[in-house]
This record gives sequence, C-alpha cells and structure tokens, in this order.
Amino acid sequence: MSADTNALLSVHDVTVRFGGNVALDEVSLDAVPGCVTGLIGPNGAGKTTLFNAITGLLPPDAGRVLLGKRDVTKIGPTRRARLGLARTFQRLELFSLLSVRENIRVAADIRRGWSRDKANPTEVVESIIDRIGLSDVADARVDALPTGQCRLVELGRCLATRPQVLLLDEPASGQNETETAAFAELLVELAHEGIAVVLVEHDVHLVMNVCQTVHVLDFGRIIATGTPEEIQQNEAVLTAYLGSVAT
Amino acid sequence: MQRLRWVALLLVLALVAAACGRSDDKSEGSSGSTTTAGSSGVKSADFGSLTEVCQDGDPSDGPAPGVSADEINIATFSDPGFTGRQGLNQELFDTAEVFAAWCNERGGINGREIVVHERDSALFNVKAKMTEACAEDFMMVGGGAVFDQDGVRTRLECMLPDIAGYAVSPEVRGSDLLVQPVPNSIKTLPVGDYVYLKRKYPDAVDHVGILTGDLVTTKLVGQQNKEAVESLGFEVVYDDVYPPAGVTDWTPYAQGVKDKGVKGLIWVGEPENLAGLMKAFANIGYDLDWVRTDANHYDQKLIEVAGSALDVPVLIRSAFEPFEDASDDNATGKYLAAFEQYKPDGKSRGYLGLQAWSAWLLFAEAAKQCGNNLTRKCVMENAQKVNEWTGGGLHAKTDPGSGDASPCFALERATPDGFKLVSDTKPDDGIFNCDPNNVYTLTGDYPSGVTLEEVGKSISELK
Amino acid sequence: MDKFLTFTIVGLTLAAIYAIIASGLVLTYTTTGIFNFAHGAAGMLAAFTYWQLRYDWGWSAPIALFVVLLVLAPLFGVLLETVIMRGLQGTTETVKLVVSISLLLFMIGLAQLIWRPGVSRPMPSFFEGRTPIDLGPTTITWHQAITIAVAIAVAIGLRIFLTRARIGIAMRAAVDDRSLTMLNGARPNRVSMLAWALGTSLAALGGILIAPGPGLEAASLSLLIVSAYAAAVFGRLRSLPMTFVGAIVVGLAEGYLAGYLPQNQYLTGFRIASPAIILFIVLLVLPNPRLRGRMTRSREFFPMPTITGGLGFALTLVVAAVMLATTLSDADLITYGRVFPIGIVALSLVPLAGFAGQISLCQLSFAGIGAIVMAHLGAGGDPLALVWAVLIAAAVGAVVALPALRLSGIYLALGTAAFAVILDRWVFNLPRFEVFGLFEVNLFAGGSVAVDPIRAFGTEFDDPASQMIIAAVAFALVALLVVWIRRGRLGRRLLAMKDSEAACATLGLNLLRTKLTVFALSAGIAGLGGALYATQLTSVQPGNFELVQSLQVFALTVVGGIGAVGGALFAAVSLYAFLPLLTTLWPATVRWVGLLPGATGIGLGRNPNGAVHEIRQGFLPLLAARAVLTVMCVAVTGAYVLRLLDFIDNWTFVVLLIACPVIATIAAGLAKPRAVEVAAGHGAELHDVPVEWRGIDRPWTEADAEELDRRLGLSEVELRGVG
Repeated sequence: MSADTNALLSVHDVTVRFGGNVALDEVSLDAVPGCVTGLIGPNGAGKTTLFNAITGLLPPDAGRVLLGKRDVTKIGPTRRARLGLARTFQRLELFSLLSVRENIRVAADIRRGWSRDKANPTEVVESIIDRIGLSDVADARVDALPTGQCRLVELGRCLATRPQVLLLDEPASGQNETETAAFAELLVELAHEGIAVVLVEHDVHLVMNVCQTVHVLDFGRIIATGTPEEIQQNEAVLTAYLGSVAT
Repeated sequence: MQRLRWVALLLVLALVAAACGRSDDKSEGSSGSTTTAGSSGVKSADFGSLTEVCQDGDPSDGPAPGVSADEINIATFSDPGFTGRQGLNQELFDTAEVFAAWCNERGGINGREIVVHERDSALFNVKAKMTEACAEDFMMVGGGAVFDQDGVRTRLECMLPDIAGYAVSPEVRGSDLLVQPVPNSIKTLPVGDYVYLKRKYPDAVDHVGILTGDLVTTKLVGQQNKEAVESLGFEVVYDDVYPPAGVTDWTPYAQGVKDKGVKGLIWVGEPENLAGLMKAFANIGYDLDWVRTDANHYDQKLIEVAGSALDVPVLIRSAFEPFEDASDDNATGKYLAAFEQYKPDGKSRGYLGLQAWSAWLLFAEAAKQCGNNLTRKCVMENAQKVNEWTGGGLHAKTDPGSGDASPCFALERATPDGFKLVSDTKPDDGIFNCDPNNVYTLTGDYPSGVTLEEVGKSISELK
Repeated sequence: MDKFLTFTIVGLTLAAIYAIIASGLVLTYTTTGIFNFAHGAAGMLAAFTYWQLRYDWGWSAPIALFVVLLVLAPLFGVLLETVIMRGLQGTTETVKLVVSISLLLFMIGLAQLIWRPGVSRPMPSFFEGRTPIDLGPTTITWHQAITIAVAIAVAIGLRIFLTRARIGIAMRAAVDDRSLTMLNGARPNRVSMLAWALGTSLAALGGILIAPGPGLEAASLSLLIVSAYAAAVFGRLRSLPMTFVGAIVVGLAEGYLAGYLPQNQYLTGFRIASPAIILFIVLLVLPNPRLRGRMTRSREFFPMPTITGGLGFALTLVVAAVMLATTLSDADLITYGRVFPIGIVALSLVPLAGFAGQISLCQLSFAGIGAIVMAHLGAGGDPLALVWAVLIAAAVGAVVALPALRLSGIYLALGTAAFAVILDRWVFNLPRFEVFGLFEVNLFAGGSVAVDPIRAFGTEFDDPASQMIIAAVAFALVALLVVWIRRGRLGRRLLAMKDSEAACATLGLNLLRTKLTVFALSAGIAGLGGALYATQLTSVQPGNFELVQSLQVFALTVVGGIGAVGGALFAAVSLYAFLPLLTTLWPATVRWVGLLPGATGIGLGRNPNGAVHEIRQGFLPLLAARAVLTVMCVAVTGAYVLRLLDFIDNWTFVVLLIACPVIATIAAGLAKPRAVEVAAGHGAELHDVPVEWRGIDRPWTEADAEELDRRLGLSEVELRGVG
C-alpha cells in the first residue's frame, strides 16, 4: 500500500472495533482520480463499515483518513461531504417521500447553500437526470421505483454535490444486465472526468470490467490488492470466497 | 369513500334532529329547576331570624334587564364542568337550585319566579359565561369562579351586579358592584383567632410557620396572614409553598417545619393536603402546638383522611354555626331540611353552600324591598345598606355593606371523632367572639380591585 | 444527620417505586418496540381500582391486591397488547407515539368518568396508623419499608425469571430480533403478551404504592411517574439492572432535593419540577442508544400542496370565519373563536413533526411564551408585540433545540414533554425577577396577567367577532406560509432529513442548523398562536398552556394528518369547536367528552395519511364538478344572506351550512361515476401502489402484468421470443 501522492482519498491503518469484535483491522487504501478502485469481499467482511468510517458516520478506533492532503479523521460527515466526499448506501437511504427530481434537487440545493458554486440548481438537476437516464420517471416518488432505478437516484444525488471522491456501496444490486452495463459505462465516464471512484460490489463481472485496482477485504483485513486479473488468480482470495481450494 | 358519505349524512341528520328538538331557550346549561309559584301561605317563608323572605305579589313588566312580569333571571357561576376536576364547587349550583325551588314555592320575589342560569365557567371559560350573563341576566347571585379575575371587567362593562357566594382574586374582592354576605375583604383581615392562639399557646408565639399552596391567590392569603400575625407579635420562622398539583410525600415539608422548630403552623390550602401533612408529622413523630386554617377545611374529608393524625390541635377558623348543632329550630337545620326536600343528593354539608345560601337570602331581602320596581340600582343600594347580617342565623354577624372583614369568629377543632367547637375563645355573641380588635387593617402592597372607572363606566350609569 | 437519613429513606422509597414502574416499562418496550406513554396511567387505574375494591366495597387487602395485581392488571396488559399494540408493528415512531399518548389521554378520561373527580377518595398507606419503625436516628414507616422490600423482591424475581425461566429467556431474545425468534420456533406474540401482562402488573404495583401520597387524582397521578421514565432512560430502555440503578439515582436526587433545596420563592417550583428536570438532564447527559429497528418506511402520503389549493383553503377559511363572526352570538364567538389561535399552534407542528419528523410535545409551552410577550409588550394593543412574540418564542425554541438536537424519536418526545412540565410547574409560576439587575422579567406574575386587545389601523379589536376574524386571517396566512415552505427548498430539505439523516449528512447538509431552523420556526409560529390566543382570553395563566393540552393538540394533529395544514385545522376544530358543541347540544355528554380525543387518537392514529386526507378524497368529486360546486356556493351564500336578514335562526343556518357541501358532494358523486384510474402514466404513480405490492395491496390487473414486465426490463420481444 504505497502512499500515492495523487490520491484524493487515503485511508491509513484504520481500525474499528465493536466491543470485542474487530470489524476493520489496519485497513489502508488509496483512491486516485481517474481510477475506479474496487473493494470486494465476502459478506460481513467490513466493506460498509469501512465506508462508514471513511465518511465519518463511524469514528475509527485507530488510523487516519485523508482527503487529498487533509486529515479528516476528526471531522464530521457534513464537513467531509463539503470537502468533496460522496457515497451511496448499501441499504438505500433515499428520501422516500420525495420524487426523483426532488431527491437530486435537495442535494443540489444543499451544495448551493454552502459553496460559491453559481450553477443553477434546476439545470444541474435536469442534466443529472438526463445523464442517469431517469427522465421518464423524474416525477415519480422514489418508493414507487424498483431498486435498480433507486440506485441510480442515489448516484444522481451524489453527483449533484460535485464530488471528488465517490464511494459506491453495491450500486448494481437490483439492476438487470442492461442496466448494469449502462451503469458501468457511466462509472467509467465519471472516472474519466477526474473523480476517484471506490466501488464495493458483488457483481464480479462489473468489478473486473471497470476497476483498475481491486482490494479484497476479508474479516476486516485487506488480504489482496492488485489489478483485476491478479486478484482473480490470487489464492488467498479464492480461499476467502470459496473456502479452501483444492488446486 | 362511501362510508364517509354516510357518516356525513348521519351527522347532518343528527344535527337537524338536535336543532329541531331544542327548545327555543338558547341559554346554555340552564336548569330551569323552578317549581311553579304555588299558593303562598302554605309554606312558611321565614328562615331563621328572617321573616317573609319570599312572597307573592302582583308584578308587571319592568325596564330592568333580565326581569319580566313573571321571572327574574339570575346567573350563578361555578366550575363543576372543568374536566380536570369535575364537580368542582358543585354545591354552588346545588344551593342555587334548592333556594330557587324553596323561594318559588313560597311566591318568589314579590311574585316573580327566580330562574337560575347555571353558568359553568369550568375554570377557563369565565369570560365567555360572563358575556352570556351580561346578555340575559339581571344579577349574579350565590356563585363564584376559581379564576374570577377573568370575568370581572366584562361584568363591570355591562354593569352586572354580584352578590357573591365567594370571591377569590383581589381584582374581584375589591371590585365595584359586588356585595359579599361574608366579606372576604382585601383591606382587612380577621385576626381574632390569632389573638386567641397567642393567649392560649404562648410557647408558640416565637415559632410560627406558614405553609401555603403555590397559587397566587393562596400565596397572597399567606402573605397577608403573615403581615397580620407579625403585627400581633408572632415571629414567623418558616414560610414555604407546596405544589397544589400533588405531593408524593409530605415528609420533606414536615421535616422542614421540624427543622425550623416551628410550633404553630398556619396552613392555607385544601383539606386533603392538610391531612397528608398531618400524617407526615405523625410519621416523623413531631408534634406541633397548633395548626390553624380557614373555613374551607370544615369538611368531613379532613377527618376521613387524617384520622388519628389529628391528635394535635388543628383549629379551623369559622364564622358559621356548626352543622353539629343543627336542629329543627335553627337556621342551619332549616338549611339542611331544604336540601332534604328539594335536592336530597346535593352537597349540603360544606361551608361554601352555607355562604351561598346567605348570599341568596341577602339578595331576596334586598330585592323584596324594591317591590314591583325591581332594578339593579335598587337591589345594590339595598344590599349595600346592610351592615348587620347573619344570614338568618347561619353565621356570625357580618357587614356586607362595608365589605370589611367581620370581627366575629369561632374555632372548630378537627378531631378523629369529628369537629368539636373550641369553647374557651371567650365568645360574646352566641358561640362567636366579636371583639372589634379582631380585625387588622392591612398595610402591605397588595393588588386592588377593578373599579367601574377602569372600564370606562361610572356608578351613575347603574339603573 | 437524622435529616439526611430521613431523606435518604424518602429517596429510596421513591426509587423503589420508580424502579418497579420503570422495569415494567422497559419490559413492554423491549419486547414490542413501543414506548408506552400510558404506562403510568395503567398504574393510576390500578390504584383507583384497588381503592374501589378495598375501601369502597370493603374487600380485604390481600384479595383486593390479588385481584388487581394478578388478575385485572395482567388482563388489561394483554388486552392492550393484542388489541392495540400488535397492530402498531411496522408503523412509524410518530404513529406509535400518537397511539400511546392517546391511550394516556383516554385512560385519564376513563378514570374521570368512572370515578367522578371532586369526590373524596382517601387512600391510606399500608399499615397506616401503626407506629413507624424506629431505626435509631430516624424512623421508617411501614409503608416505606414495604415499598423498598417489594422493589427488592421485584428485582430479584425479574432477574431469576429472565435468566432462568424459558419464557423469560425468550423475552430477552425477542428483544434482539423478533423475526429471528419466530424462525427459531419461539412465539413472539406470546412473549409480547406475557411481557405486557407482567409490565402492566408492575405498573399497577407501582401505582398502588405511590397513590397514598399524592392521592387519587387521575391526571396528576398518571404524570407523576415522569421520574420513572428517567430511570428507564438511564437503563437505555434495555437493561433492567441499569434501570434499577437509574431509579436509585433519580429517587435519591429527588429526595435530597426535596430535603435540602433552600427555601426561596424562586426555587419552590424547582422542587416540584425536579422530576422533569432530572429527566431532561438524564436524556441529555446519557448517550442515547440507537433506537430499536431500522427507521420503518412510512407509508404516508401527503400530496404536494398546490398554490391554488392553498389559496382556496385560506380563502374558504376566512369566508367561513366571517360568516361565523357575523352570525354567532358573542358568547359563542368567545368559545369557538379559540379554534384559530390553537389552529396556529397546531400548524407549528406541521413543519416540525410533519415535514422534519421531529416530535415536539411542548408547542403549547411556546404558545405560552408568546402569550406572555403579548401581555407585557403589547400593552395598549401594540401590534408590534405580535412580532416580538414570534421572535422571542423562536429564540426560546432555538435555545431549547440546542440540547435537544441530539435526541430523536421517543427521546425527543420525552425531552420536549419534560421541558413542558418544567415550564408548567416552575418557570411559568415564577414571581417577577431581575436579570443581572438590568431588566425585570415578569412572566405570569405568579398568577395571571391581563392582555390588551390589539389596536391597529385606528380600531381596537376588542370584540369577539373581530378577534375571530383576525385570528382566522392569521391562520390562513400561516397556512399559506407552511404551504410555501413545503413547496420550496426548506420543505424538501426537512422531508429529506426526516427520511435519512445519514444521507443528508453525507450530502453536506448541516443537520444541526437545519434542525435549529425548523425548531425556531415552529416555536415562532406557536408563539404567534399563543399571542393571539392571549388577546382572545384577555387574561392568561399558566394553566392555559399545560402539557396535557400539548398532548391533545399533537395527537389530534397527527390524526388529522400531520403533513398537511388540514391536519392542524382538524385538531383545532375537534378540540375547540366540536367538543364544546357536543356538550352544548347534549349536556349529559360533558362527562364523556374527555374520552373523545384519546379514543380518536387510538382509533384513527394508525392511518398514516391522516383523516383529513380521507375527507378530502371524499370531497374531490365535488371539486371536479364545477356546476355542482357553483350551485353549492350560491346556496351557502343564500343561506348566509337569509341568516343576516334574520329570516332563519342560527341553528338552521349551521345545519344548512353543513348540509350543503355534503349534499353537493353526494350529488357530484352520483352525476359523474368515478373514472377508472388508468394505471399507466406518471400522475397515477404518485397515487398508486408500488409495483412490488400490486396484487397484495390492491387487486391484480392485466395492466399490472405489463407494467411489471416493463420494469423488469423485459421487452415484449424477449418474452415472446424472436419473431
């Protein structure tokens, strides 16, 4: 885990304990602009916990989190968000009483409230809705939408805050093949625009397609890091996923 | 949504039925509990020392509001409808009903029937009910409201006179167009019982405590009593308030009293709370020399609840003839008999009912002298001329006209076996001690009553 | 020293009672997830019942205790659980709260109905009259000793039961995960029933032990155990041992405060309010656990109010007010005029609880502050005082919000209730005092304070008719404000915050500032309502702004529909127009009306959309049928004119006023059969059932099948094969 000076997000030896249970054990990773960094691992490995720690919803027991050069370990989630950090949630945290458009609009309004960004929120919202392909259902209440589209709404919300670092927690779950493909394209686009994307996913296909670097997390520890190809060959990874492997 | 429509329809039908079923009389809560004016002379209209309280006559219509050839509309206020304490002061309504029935059966007031409009202010509706009374009634008699200050300005604005059953706030007690049969003055305070206590229990003179409920009215009474007893030479070493809403445990108060070495305690509050306090004293084993409290504790509740904890002298200042002495011959007995006849399940054995009855008698006396020409001015002037009044023998001599506190008092002691009259108070008028020195003029800065001038009226406008 | 011991015993006795009651509360909460505000009321009813059996009917103490504690109380608990609580599984915090608050109100009303207040019901303590036990420097009464002994027995008994008995262990399992226990063969329903039976018995025991002190009075007894809630919070609503510890801390604190607080006219109220103060401190100081269960997704639906709809509502309201003001008698106007200021107070709940999901049970307290400001700064009728009322109430709201910000759900409700009680019992009753010798603060002057009518535009609004109109206009304006908020940025933000604070934080929203804003806004609106209320009452006192009224307003606003202004009107009309009307028409109902707010809340509180929504749905065909609507307006105007010309009397007029819209609605419904709603299209989606629930929440249609396919991304081609 070399310290990449370009990294927009650096996680250094973050440890989180719940009582006697070690949920994260000295986890480190970097997210570089233009790259999609994957984070995979079995259920219960601690991926969402890591996201919670990075976004500030869960203070770590040890370690540091940096956004760019800035140590944000002691800073709350709101300020981290304003420094360019955005995330989606594994269990959808949509504003279910609002429509798609309103969901994204809230995010745009929030940004307008604190930043000096002069962009017109209405335009921002419309362009995002277009981009994620939900123009048809923009006025529908989000709790009437299927999960796949909801995921897109969450992404749209993040985009409205113009993030530099984007954490996506199982965004493709609930999407069918067509939707996943479109999503993958979108992710690549976002990365190309200079956003550092960190992707937690179970859809191996998707991960392997879009990620440049993949970290594997098991029982709270990073057990492997590398390119998708390297990871697919890695013994430790196979063991973690499949149990012991008879080679 | 079909269901909702049917519900709406039913509501409409119900309202229509109710509207049609109502009588034309729009006054709220009126209990026209009047018997038709029977033949006079069958029943004696004497009451105690008063003769011909009610009688027949030949009235004609008059200009006075609320008065017709047949009826006099009277408003009686009370608060039993308050949902937080239903039945509060129900005895005022009961007394009004009984008196009206009793009087009407004897001819009414010079032939006019008394029609009682029970104005239930339910604590917070005083102003609304006062507005109603202003619109319909001739006078207010025999009533009272816990928050009576809410309605006094409205009353004065419509020049509605009041012969009160009781008055609470200083704004009302000192107001114009008010006569109290047993005055609760804001300028003077009866202190005869304190004089007695000073004489009988000299050890307690330097160790007096005052405990009142935490309401502005009771605190005021406490303050006034404090001023009065200090002027008599008592030393107040303890002065506290308790929450009228409810105390889980009276021990802290008993302890506080004990800590300060209080020997004589002045209590302003409610019988049940006093009972709780007395039990606490018994529990911590502390005996006072005396406890002194007001007439509203002349209530069986006190004895029921406190029971054996009443072994120290708990003395109640009273201006009324005791119920224990009621007989067929005296006024108190007649009062109880009237209840028996006209409202057997009404609450008769309380000082409030007695006081209200006295108010009704005063009204009847003042009104009957006006003959056919029954006006507010006439009744008020007659009532204010009364300087010696005993309610036909129900209570000690009072001076309703001046509104000053009566110097007469007696003391009832609450014992586990019942109320016992204290005999060594040196009574000089029946059972009462009426030494003129028994009244103390207050010098402190207390709120004053509302006057007609304050609402932009004057007494010359009273018709 | 003996004083210290005396008060230690007092404190321990209190602690014992609180421990018993709180442990019952924790049991019922942990097994069903419902915080029973009415827990204390159960104790109150038990005390009354015990009195009835023992002292009125003369049964012996052991039998009376047996019947109350082991037969009636458990049955009552089971009844509550099966009939009411079970149906609340899966509903939002607000709904659960409303139902339990309504239950509290209902039970108080029930007690007052069965046992008429004003009648003496002395309740001796156990073994009263026997000499207290001598402990040397101090004594302990038999009642106190028994209380403490019983608490210890309960503690031991519970410990054994929950760790040894099978069903006790099942109870602890249900705490953690209800569905999991079901999968493992346990019967959570049975566990819940038992928990409620046990919990209610404990409440009953506590009630019987505490009642001799304060006496049998329904409302005060039910609220007396506010301290027990503090003990339960101490135990994080989970841990019984900590609850007992908490009870000891709270009880001793209260006991020592009672004994050692200096005698001071400013502190007497402090002593009485100390249970609430302790609760408030405990809520703030202890870390509150994350509440059980995920935030249940609310099934509520509050359609976005339209501008025309809002204006229509406001206009209709003002017109109706004018009609009433010109036709009703003065006395009626005074009574019914209160609808509008209280309606404004209810409106304050809409942005706070309806949009932002922040439960507040102290809105009447803010109204009280507005009233005080109006009384003191509005001398002579200065209308500027209204502005001051809003500002000062808002400021107080912000100050209160600061500590309350970290609370949510039940804890926020408890915190605001504690705040209301502190104001009721202490602050509002303070005599005048000086602040740093700079200026004098005179709240209710220790009693009541007069309020001058507003004087503006050259006239004095001192008669009930004009006051009603002013209040109605104010209500209409505030309603429009609330509509405007909902349609705008703040409204969206509040709704977002209600749904997911985590998401909002990660989007960069300053939650604290938003909450502060909405609290201040809400308090300011309530302050305005209070100020106008004060001008109508012309004399205000603390009793006008008590906790029970806040509870009623809250419960009925939720029943009406807390996400929309109609709900606020519903609450105000129910409490201040409907109830007085009922007692006017049928005076015999005066004893029963106390039950209605509670009963309504229990019965209708479960509907997440609110009653007003249903009513509005009913009137929709009318609004669509223009012709019928016009005829109705003409008819109503005609009736009004007839009334003004005195051709008809008030009652006929009111009947017509109500009959016209109802008949018109029915006529409209008959004229145009309701068009079948087309399932496709965005508009319908706003109203329709989510895809996953088609066929379950409503019958399956052919269109649904197509919709489903489309949603799943399956094209016709793929389904039918290439061809």
